[in-house]
Amino acid sequence: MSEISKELSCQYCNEKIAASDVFCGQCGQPIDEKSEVKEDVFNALQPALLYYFITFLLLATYKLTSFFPEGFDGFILVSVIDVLIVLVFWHHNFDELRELWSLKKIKIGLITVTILFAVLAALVVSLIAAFLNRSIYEEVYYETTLYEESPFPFLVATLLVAVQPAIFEEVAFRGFLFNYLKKVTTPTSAIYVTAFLFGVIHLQFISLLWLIPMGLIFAYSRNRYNTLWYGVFGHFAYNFTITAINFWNVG
Amino acid sequence: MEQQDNLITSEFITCENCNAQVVSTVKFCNSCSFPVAGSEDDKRSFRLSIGSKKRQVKDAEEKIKTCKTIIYILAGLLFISGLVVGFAQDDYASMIVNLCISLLYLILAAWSEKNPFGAILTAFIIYVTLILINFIVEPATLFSGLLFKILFIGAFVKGVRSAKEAKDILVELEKTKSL
Repeated sequence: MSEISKELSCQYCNEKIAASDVFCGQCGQPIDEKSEVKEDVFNALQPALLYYFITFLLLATYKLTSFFPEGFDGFILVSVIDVLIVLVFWHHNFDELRELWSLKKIKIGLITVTILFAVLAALVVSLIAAFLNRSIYEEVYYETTLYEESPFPFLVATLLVAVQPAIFEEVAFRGFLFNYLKKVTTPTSAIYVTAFLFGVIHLQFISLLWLIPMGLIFAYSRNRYNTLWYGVFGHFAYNFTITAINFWNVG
Repeated sequence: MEQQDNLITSEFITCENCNAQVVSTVKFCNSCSFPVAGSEDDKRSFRLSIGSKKRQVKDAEEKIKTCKTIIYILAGLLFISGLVVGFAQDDYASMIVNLCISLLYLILAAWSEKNPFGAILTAFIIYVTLILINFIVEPATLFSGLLFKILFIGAFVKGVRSAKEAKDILVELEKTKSL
């Protein structure tokens, strides 16, 4: 049963061990286990919960109260704070996140499929939304009137609604939040948890029906291909299509 | 080469705990860490520690079960209140929102069978999120059913810890072939 081809030794007592050993025969300590102190799960989750609840309080205060200025100014202000929060966490996890941005992992074919799929999904969601009544309709479409105060409404809307979330929401939910969760649980479970949180933080409870599946797909591709790029392109394509349909409907 | 010869010529003994064949010179079983060369006391304390780990798993599973029940209760409450606001008050938008959240809890309760840690953690965060949303819209709502809120949050916190603990201990027990 034991085959000593390489010289292996126990990390606790330096006694020689066989490759098939699970425990050291001399000291009884486990072999493959890293000698790490087990910390409380909520300690490990602290940064993840901190990011989620700070961002949630910001968005909820903006959407549910009149604390922030109305119209375009308030929207810009909230977007800037939102981005700043993500930047702080991005900075703290910079090295871990850098590898997820590697351009080498991009496959052009898969990117194309992702974009086509996202555009299609946006069209389907718009169609479903059109069937539903007005109060739900407002949830799905971003207000175009908001951008009329700015010099280039469509460009500004594209930047704020398509470019900003595609980068910063992806870094947050598929980047550091995913990494924090992966430290305490399996990748599969991290995929589901981040997808649920991604859906809930949008505070549009009917949209959960498509936000959670979207979150699942982006998180799956982040885990499968170890890159954020598919999420970034998919997220951009989806939000951009919704924005374009929205402006086209108004115009 | 010398090692190889040693192994071939050395005698093997059978581990009492996991029946693995181990070289007679070892003090602990290479496969389950049972103290094969230890005293009766050593062997008893090995068995006792396995027993206490199994009890810990059982306790943790009790707490996980409590959380599952709470998630089902929340799903039920939101379903009923959704129907009430919809049909008694003609507030269909709130009805749909309540039914969506009820469905979400139902999905989480079902998922908790397979992955208690992920499901209870998510349900806990969503529960706190909804309390905060109601608080932001109407601060007085915080105090309605405050006792239940505290109890549920306490149960969720214990549930998340227990789910993690149970999983870690099960991995250990699996390793010592004691399941």
